[in-house]
Amino acid sequence: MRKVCIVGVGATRFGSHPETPLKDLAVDACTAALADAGMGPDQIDAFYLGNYGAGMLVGQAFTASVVANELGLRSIPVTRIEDACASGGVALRHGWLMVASGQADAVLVAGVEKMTSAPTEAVTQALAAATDVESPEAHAGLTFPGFFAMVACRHMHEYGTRPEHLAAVAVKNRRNAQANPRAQFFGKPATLDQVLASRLIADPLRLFDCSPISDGAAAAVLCAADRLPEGARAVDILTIAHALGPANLSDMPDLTSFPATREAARQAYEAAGLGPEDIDVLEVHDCFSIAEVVALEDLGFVPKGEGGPAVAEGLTALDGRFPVNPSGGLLSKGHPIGATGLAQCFEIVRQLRGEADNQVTGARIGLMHNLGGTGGTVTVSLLARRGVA
Amino acid sequence: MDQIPVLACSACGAVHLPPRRRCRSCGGDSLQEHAIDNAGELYAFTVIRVPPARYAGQEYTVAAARFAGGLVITGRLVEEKDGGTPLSGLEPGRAVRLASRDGRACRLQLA
Repeated sequence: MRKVCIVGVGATRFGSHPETPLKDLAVDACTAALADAGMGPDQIDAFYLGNYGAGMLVGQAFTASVVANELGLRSIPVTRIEDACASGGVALRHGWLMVASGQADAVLVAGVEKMTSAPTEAVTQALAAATDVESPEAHAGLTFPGFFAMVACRHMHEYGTRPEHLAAVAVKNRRNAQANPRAQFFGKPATLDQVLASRLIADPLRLFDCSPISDGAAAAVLCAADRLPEGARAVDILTIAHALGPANLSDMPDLTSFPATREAARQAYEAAGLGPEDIDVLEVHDCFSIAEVVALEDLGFVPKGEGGPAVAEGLTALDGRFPVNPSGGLLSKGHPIGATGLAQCFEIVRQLRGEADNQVTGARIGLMHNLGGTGGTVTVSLLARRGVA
Repeated sequence: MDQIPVLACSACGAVHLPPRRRCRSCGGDSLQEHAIDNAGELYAFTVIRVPPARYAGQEYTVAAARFAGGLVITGRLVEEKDGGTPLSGLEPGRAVRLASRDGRACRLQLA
């Protein structure tokens, strides 16, 4: 396998883009990534687009071809990847494999979602399709917030995790977003009291425990390490692991842990010869506050059950031992489903180039964790400053 | 309903509801009809305050209950035996039973 680098990244502002079609959001992010790489569309050998629900949410299927044509790409293979909330992470992995295998020298990977133009009930129903719709829980009317609320219920019961611990995740990520002008909640700080007083969405999760409905896109340009463009500001892809987990709550042996996160992390650490102690900065899949707590445990950064107090005590703050979600995370940067994995990549690449909005001093190795559905699909990616690992 | 009809894996004994083609635990394809006691324990629950479009305007409790052999059944928690709202005093560990099953929709209640 060839070594692969990320040579350019781009992203739109996340939030509400009522006047901008989905296609244009994707093109804006791709154009920014190509400009950042100093490359043109004629140099791209393949294109992957992560997108979850354009068919359900804006009535547009066939998104990869539509976006690729608008970008002016040559007659190359283009593929849309749908893997629920991990669509972006999985798209990135396929781009990496394409270059690593020698099938392509340069690949453009993007993710996009447009959600705010649909009513909340329609978005809730579209998101509920990211589980087995024939399962008993789907027939019971379990929503995504509801699923993670049940994870929180069990985590609280087994480990004594408290609403204040979950609120600490939301407050920390909201604080981080205040330095990120692309974040949906930029300019909208929140206090612990505000989080704890916000309305219940699915007990015990409140509005501020949930990521918002968002529009947005992000993109990355991948290039073979032996074909880097002149002057490239390259970041190394060490590995991208991808694992399957249960697609239903009823199939989870333990609601307080996601087996696919543990398996993808195990594979990623093994492939890179690294462990949690080597990671300088993380973007993890905090679709809900409890999800960040569980991710910290499953990724090996804290012992099982200690994620809540660890966040409350500052372990994951910008100046903590393991800064998590300096971008604001899904909770405060926003969560346009298909774009999220690429938005995590956008942040980690900028961290490793030393140019992030919330720069973690001296960051050399970064981790991205992208989770889809009820933990039914997870990618864990490890990136490094060029040549350090 | 004193017993719950399930499928049990001939190879590893894991029990399944609803029916499935292969065993979730070991991948075996020999699943036999079996029955387990209708005596479960509340594993986790939530109250859905923002429902999907087809349940617009409703608030309801969804619960997961654990039965013999590790079987988890997820469904609506429909009533409380001793009255009151299903929310009051609800804690994981409470005794629950499967009240009814209509196709894939399960209804649970406190025992």
